[in-house]
Amino acid sequence: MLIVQQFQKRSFIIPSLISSGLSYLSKDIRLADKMEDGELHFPKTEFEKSQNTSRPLFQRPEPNYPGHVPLYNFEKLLMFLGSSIGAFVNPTNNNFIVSLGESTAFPWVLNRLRTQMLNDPSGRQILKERPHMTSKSLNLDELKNYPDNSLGKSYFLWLEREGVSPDTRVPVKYITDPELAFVFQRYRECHDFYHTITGLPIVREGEIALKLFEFMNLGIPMTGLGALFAPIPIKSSQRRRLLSVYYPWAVKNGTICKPLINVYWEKIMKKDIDVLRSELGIEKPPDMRELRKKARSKKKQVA
Amino acid sequence: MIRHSRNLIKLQSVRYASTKGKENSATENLRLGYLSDAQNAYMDRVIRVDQAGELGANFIYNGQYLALSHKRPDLKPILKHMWEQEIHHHNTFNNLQVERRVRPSLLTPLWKVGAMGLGIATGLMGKEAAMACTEAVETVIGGHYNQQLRVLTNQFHVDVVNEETGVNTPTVPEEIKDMQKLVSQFRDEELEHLDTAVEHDAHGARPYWLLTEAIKLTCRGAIWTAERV
Repeated sequence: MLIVQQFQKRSFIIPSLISSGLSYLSKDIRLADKMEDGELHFPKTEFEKSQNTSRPLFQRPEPNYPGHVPLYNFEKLLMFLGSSIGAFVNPTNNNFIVSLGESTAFPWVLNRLRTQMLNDPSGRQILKERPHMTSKSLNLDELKNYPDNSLGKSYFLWLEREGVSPDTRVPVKYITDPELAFVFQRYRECHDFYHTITGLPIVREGEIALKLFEFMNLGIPMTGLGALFAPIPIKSSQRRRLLSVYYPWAVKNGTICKPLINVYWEKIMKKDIDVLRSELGIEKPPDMRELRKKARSKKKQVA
Repeated sequence: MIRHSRNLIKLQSVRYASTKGKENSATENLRLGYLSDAQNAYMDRVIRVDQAGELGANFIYNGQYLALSHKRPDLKPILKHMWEQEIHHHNTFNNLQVERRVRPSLLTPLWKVGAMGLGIATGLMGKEAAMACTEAVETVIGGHYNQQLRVLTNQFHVDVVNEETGVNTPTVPEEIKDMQKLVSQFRDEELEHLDTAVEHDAHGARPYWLLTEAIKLTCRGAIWTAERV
């Protein structure tokens, strides 16, 4: 009992001693801090204040282009960590892929792409005009009247077959430099044309094959990560097909063919797609949907 | 006078600002003001944290000397020389502390144990680690002394009123100037230790970056705390 009482007494006395001690100290601490900051006796002159360019720790800089969200590097790192895990676990969620792409789109990667564009006449034209692909700017309704086997018609048919639209492309938000942001935006918008010209579908397997093709051709890190890690969780039969058929094709064609970022797709809609392929140096891979169908029916027969 | 009445408790501070002034006032009839509360608070802080810091340095060298003197007798004169300088600094601030009646840091026992531990630990890790420790500590201390010098130079003007004309020309009292000289002399000596440490393979310590940055961080934390409690 005695111990308990003492304990209770102490539990009251000690905090009160500490708090009164702190309040005794706090005034001197405050004053000395102010002295150290030069706030009291000889305050900084206007000139000295203007020389002080330090910003508050977490004040965001102004956006560099409409829709830009400036991020600190540690935030990009967090975004990379989160989106890479998310994209691995749930690759069908576009948000993860989009943010993985932007958090790994390092300036040196995009700078290299831009240099590639500047070295090519149509690349220069694209950089100069900064076209933006939408269903309106592409005149989707007219495309269906284009001659058979033209790029425009194939693109239109591909869109119909896969049930997608060019308007679903998410705008770039986190890349600092406006021009590099445009380069990445251009890659993103042209992605559907890469599908068209290779004929790869937007099922998981097709996307993975196309990612390796893009990585070999453009060197965007996200596509390389996709090609490296995305085949891990898929079915082993699909992985075998990828590794035996599509990866060798992607490595060969992605390396050999011309840089696809320099193709001004909008201007060559009427061109024959086979001619275009041979100009760019791409051979069409086996139709993935057909291969998948065949594999499925074979499986059924066996069963 | 009323504004500074609370300062009268601190007789020393009055002395600080006024002894040299009296000589002048005999000839020119100058009236010297007092240090303000804030100036007193900062002066106390300087003496408190420097005393604690030099005490710590003293113990670090003590620990290093203990750990290294048997294994590396060749280092003894170097360590001894630096240690003796730290003892001199420590004594100087001890005297100032008594003279100005400045409360020592409440965590003095902790500084003693921590500094001794740091000295022995880096000493046992070897010559390079001990020197890297010296390098890290003296880097932080050099910067800290500089910061104090900046405030002592810019913020310690005291009213000096000519009683006949009533003109006020704020000046830095001689006592503060002595303090500036002391601090800058000590800073130079600490930076000599830094050079000595680098000459004796401080950069050869492994893991150099981790070790020095960890010690620097600890030192900054200790300085921040000793300035306040």
